[in-house]
Amino acid sequence: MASRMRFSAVLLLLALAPLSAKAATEDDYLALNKSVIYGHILPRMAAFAEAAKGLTPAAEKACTTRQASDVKALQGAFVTAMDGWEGMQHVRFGPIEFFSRGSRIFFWPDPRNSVGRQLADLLAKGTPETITEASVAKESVAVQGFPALERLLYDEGAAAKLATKTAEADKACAAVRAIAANITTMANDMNKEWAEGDDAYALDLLKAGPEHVRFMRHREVTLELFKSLYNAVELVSDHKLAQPLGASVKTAKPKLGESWRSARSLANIRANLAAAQGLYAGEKGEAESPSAFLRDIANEGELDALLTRAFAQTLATAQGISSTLEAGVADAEVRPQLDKLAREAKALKTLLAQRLAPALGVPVGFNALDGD
Amino acid sequence: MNRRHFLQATAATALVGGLLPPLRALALSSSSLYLGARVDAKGKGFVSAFDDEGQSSFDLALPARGHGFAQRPGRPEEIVAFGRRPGRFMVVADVRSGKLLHTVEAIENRRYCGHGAFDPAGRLLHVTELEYDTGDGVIGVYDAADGYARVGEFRSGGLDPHEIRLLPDGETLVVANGGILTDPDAPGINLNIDEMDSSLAYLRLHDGAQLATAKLPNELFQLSLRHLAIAPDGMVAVVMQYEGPSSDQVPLVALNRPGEKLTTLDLPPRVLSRLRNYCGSAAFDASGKVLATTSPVGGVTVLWDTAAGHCLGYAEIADGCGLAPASEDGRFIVTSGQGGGYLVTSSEAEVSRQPIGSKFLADGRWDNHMLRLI
Repeated sequence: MASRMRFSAVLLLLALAPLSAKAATEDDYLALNKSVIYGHILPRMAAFAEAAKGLTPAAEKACTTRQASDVKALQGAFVTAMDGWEGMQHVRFGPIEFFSRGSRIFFWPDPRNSVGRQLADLLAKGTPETITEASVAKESVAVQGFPALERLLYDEGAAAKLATKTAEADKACAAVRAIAANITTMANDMNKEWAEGDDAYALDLLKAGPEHVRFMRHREVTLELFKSLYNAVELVSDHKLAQPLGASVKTAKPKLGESWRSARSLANIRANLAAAQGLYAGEKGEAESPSAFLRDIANEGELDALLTRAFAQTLATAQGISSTLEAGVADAEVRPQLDKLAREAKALKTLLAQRLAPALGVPVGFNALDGD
Repeated sequence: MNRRHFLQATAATALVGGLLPPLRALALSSSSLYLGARVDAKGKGFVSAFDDEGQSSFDLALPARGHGFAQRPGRPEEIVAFGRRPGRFMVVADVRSGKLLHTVEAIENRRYCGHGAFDPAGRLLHVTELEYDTGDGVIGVYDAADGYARVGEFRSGGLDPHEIRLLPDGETLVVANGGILTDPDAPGINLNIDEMDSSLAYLRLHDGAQLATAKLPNELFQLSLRHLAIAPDGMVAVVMQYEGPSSDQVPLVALNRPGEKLTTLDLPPRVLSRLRNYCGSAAFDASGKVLATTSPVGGVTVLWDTAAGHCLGYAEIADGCGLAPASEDGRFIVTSGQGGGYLVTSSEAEVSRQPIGSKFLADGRWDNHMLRLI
């Protein structure tokens, strides 16, 4: 009799196994959210603020000395700051939404050359005295962030021009200083709003419940975190790779790469994929990461193994490409590796939406994800 | 042989004999017939017709995911299915014969935005489009009597024109200009977050002259007016999506008549927050008194008494977006992007939902819109 009961219990467990994600408690979701917010989001917000901090003094120095070496150092500070951004740009909710910061920091894609037109306009109408951080912060979003700064530092002859003491360079320098300071300020403000004080956004997210104006359940916050993860991979797949790749070597469009002027498009993608992996697996293998949630709570160990491999494989492919994206898309030798990366990123995106979301207990439909 | 099989058998006989049954015969005797766009398990897009029980009588593969629909006046069996924006195709089909009649490709420098509306005679089809280069909105005009040849266009009065409807006067088109600038090759990212300018434009049918425009107050400039429902008395309901911070609370439904101001409808904050600043579809019931709005993002379908301007209640339908009135007052059919369809009913006591037990509905992932054909 006893053995029969045990057998029935096993059968019952097997029958319930696929539904176990639904049995996750609010405490489980709270623990997951806490782990992602404190283990992934806050460190990356802080890292971006720290990386962007170097931009302002580097711009000041280059524009004061007008030495080629200092302009070169400014380019280095630009890359460091942009890497910081690429490591957290997938977190699209919260302070990044305030004051249109997302678009102001990195306006992209730019199919109608808004950055070029608005920057030309800014330089035409402004003077070294009137182009300031405060004035730029009120301009079009297209001239406020990395893409505009990239043009000022990497357009053909731009760096050499900055290292001269001409009226034209004075004006370009004013724009460089203003945009650099604007990025530093926004990065710092976002970090503070996420992390500091009693009204920190991170704390607010952990207060989900019947009294919360937006999130009635912790599970709803988990959905936001899932969307950030999905967003990271979707941007890489559908925008950052698909657009420059085009349909073939002959129709490739390297200038649709996110940062082709500084030849950082592939580096950006690597940073995005590493960030997505960090969100999923935990930056330090946290015990309550989404990956651990699948294994320990959702009873989806096989899916976790599949996702773990998928992240590792996609990232390895991205890291194994020796060329830049700009050169690679139109190069018959390199292109197959980029095509492979695009296929893997797309497959990963589909896995996240169709397998991970329901396993986490936050199924998302394509109407909700894709809009109209 | 049950009634359905009998009807299918007679339909088959009629086809063989060269005579098609009336559209009525495609549904159970008292049932309505609905058109929806679905994606199957392999990711392929279809336009499908089904009845109140979710039984399919028409299912046609599309070049890609479908979006909105139009039914040709005078020829109720002839339907147009539009591709998702920024689309390159619209498909004209005969729901009775199941045949594809035309596939109309977008012309150079134009993309379809997913919706269209016929004139009362069923001759000219008006389609929301965008100019590829600039993102400007246009209304393309197509002659159904000439194989849907493109015979003209006029300006929509804003960026990102989305849903378009004909008012009951038979002379006025209303267009929701969403006001969002996107990359037509890779949409999904808002490129004018700081200067959005959405509007409801009333255009004269025969020449596109702009008769009236309605806009929200400046502080709501990041609201995108996108989808429409028209009551029999000409009342226009418009539902919106918000591009500003997700923690903001903004109205998502408004009512309007030409020449008047938009009247936004309020919800209790706790219900409003559940909509996640996004509504995807709107429809009036058969009586024209009850409005339904779906939020796939929030997974909530809200019913409204438009005369009183208040919410009657809501039903939770995950990723529910496709929406059409059922034949009885106060009832709607809602389909889900996660599969399945629901009957949503408002009674004096409450708003309730009941799943439609249909494998066909359950197996499809249903896209944003539905249209009731009969």
